Amino acid sequence: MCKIEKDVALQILRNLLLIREVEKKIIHLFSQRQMRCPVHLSIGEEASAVGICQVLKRDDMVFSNHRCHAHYLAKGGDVMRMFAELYGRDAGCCSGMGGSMHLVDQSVNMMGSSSIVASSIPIAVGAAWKKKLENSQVVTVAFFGDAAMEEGVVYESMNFAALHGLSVIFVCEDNGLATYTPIVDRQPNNAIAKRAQAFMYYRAIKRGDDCAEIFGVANEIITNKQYPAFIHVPVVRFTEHVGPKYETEVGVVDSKNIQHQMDNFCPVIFWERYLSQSYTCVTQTEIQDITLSVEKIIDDAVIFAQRSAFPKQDCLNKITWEVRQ
Amino acid sequence: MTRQITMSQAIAEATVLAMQKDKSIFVIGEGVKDHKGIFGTTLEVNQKFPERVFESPLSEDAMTGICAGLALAGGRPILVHQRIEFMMLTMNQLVNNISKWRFLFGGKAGSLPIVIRAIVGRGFGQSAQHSQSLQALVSHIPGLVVVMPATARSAKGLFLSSINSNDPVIFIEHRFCHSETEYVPEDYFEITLGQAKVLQTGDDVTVVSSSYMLHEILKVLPVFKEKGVDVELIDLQTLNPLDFETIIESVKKTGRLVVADLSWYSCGIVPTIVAYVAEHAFSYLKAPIKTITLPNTPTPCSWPLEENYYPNSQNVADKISEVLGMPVVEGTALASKTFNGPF
Repeated sequence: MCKIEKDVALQILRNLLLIREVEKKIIHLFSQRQMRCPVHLSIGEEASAVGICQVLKRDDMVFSNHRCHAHYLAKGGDVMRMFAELYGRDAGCCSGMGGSMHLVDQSVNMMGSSSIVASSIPIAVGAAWKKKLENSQVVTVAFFGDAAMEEGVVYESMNFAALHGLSVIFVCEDNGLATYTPIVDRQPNNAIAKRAQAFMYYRAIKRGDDCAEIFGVANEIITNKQYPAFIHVPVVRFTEHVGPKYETEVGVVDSKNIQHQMDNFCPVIFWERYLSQSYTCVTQTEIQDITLSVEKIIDDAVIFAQRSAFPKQDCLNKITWEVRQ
Repeated sequence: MTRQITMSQAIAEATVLAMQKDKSIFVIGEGVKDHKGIFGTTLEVNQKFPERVFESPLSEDAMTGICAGLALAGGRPILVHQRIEFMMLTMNQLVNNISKWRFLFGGKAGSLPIVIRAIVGRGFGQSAQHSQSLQALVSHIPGLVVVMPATARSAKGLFLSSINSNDPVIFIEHRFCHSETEYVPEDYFEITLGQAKVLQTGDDVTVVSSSYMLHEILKVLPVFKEKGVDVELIDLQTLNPLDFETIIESVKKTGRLVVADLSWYSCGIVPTIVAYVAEHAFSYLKAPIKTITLPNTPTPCSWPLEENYYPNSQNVADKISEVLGMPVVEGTALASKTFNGPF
């Protein structure tokens, strides 16, 4: 495992905090009923997005799913446009047409996300195919959850990616839940690894809250061009499937166990501890500055969103298609 | 000026012209590189640009998503299904992703310039899973342009427009139209999508149809001409968005309407047009609208049943006579196209 440079370690901290604080701000503001779209929060699952996107270059492409906030922010997506989107405003990253599940920012190659489980995976593979046909070095990442491994299209996509030797990384964020159905009721034991290994270079992450491990594995894959690759990341979902509540408030998932996981598998706590233990040169002032700058970005974004105009009523046709009507 | 080619030759020629012009165009599908080359339509293009013609695994669902990704990254894929039924495995990508990608991201994630060629079979006992006219299913979805050409010339122009369009286009070809022959200009030309074409003007009755059914209609028009009936014949060309304007304009002139389509009635192309005319030109109608669609059952294999399953030129003559309130013109059951198989 390579030692992470100090500035990269601080960048990781910044992105982890940004995602966590954005999500907490959404929880805080959600009850005002100004954000009227289903929010699938990334709290607890930040390390996967941050660790992997930290290795990616700007040109590298990311495709995501319904739980896309972390992927969008980790790839460098605009925070103002994200909040404006959640508020349904014209200045939103999707002009208010998509909402929380469809974040996009092509300026940083956050290519989009689909809320139908697994359905953005073949799109990622197709984009990777185009790059291969151009002899480009661009890497494409598809983020998805454990339930996507129950969809047939994943295997069709893996088959094609392997057949054409595409520079694509499948990242399976395994929180063990499909809404509220546990994986033991949906998949045979330990089968994700075996199924992925049939087509791809497979790496299992031991601790899904450890950005250093995730960064290290992604870095190795990209440096050694071990494509197509599959990274299996165990993660913990701290909040309900959809909505602003913590699982501890919902009470469906074993609340004692979830509290234990929130205390012991939190990517932010992990990274703060890791920083203080591994980088004696990181000062409290540096951390304080990062925290303050993240808070300011979010506060500005919320004000921007709240002050933005709604889309015009007559825009729908033009956004749908170009064909003569 | 008298160069006569078939519709399949016209599609083959259009594909070559488009790929010569634009290096970002790819042809992808099951069988596009084999010795038959999708009824001959991909043979030449595979010879000229083999590096841009790709065989597909039998993974229709993923391949449709893969074509979307290819398009997002700057390609212009043409995905081919030898039978439209195989497109049914891709409905998730079509209905949830491809038709909505531009919309969902507010136009900020680019368009998806994909053409999906889907072929409708008929005859020689193709039975229920190789003969369906499923244009209505896809025409229900905003964001998917649905094109259905009838003749060689229109197929070439519409296909080139479809390839050049930034919208996803479902291009549905009827197998019987593949052998229809006419003069087709050699050069590159486009026919505007979303626009119907008046094939023949007339004042007495408007007949609206598309694809192969138009050829059944064309057979009976001389008989009506002899009897002094002037039929205005409209080829829809694009089924979504429908060019209601052209239909309404014609109905206001003739006051009589026959609508024919080789798909089922229920939630289909025909009732859509009937409803629109009832809503927007009711007071111009001199007689109830007449329609021609398939029986509300799947296609049988047994050949005498199969032959009777499809509406023919006599059915067309019946409906035109009825809407005009004249005695039925008999003896117009001119033979439909025959097809000697095997596929």
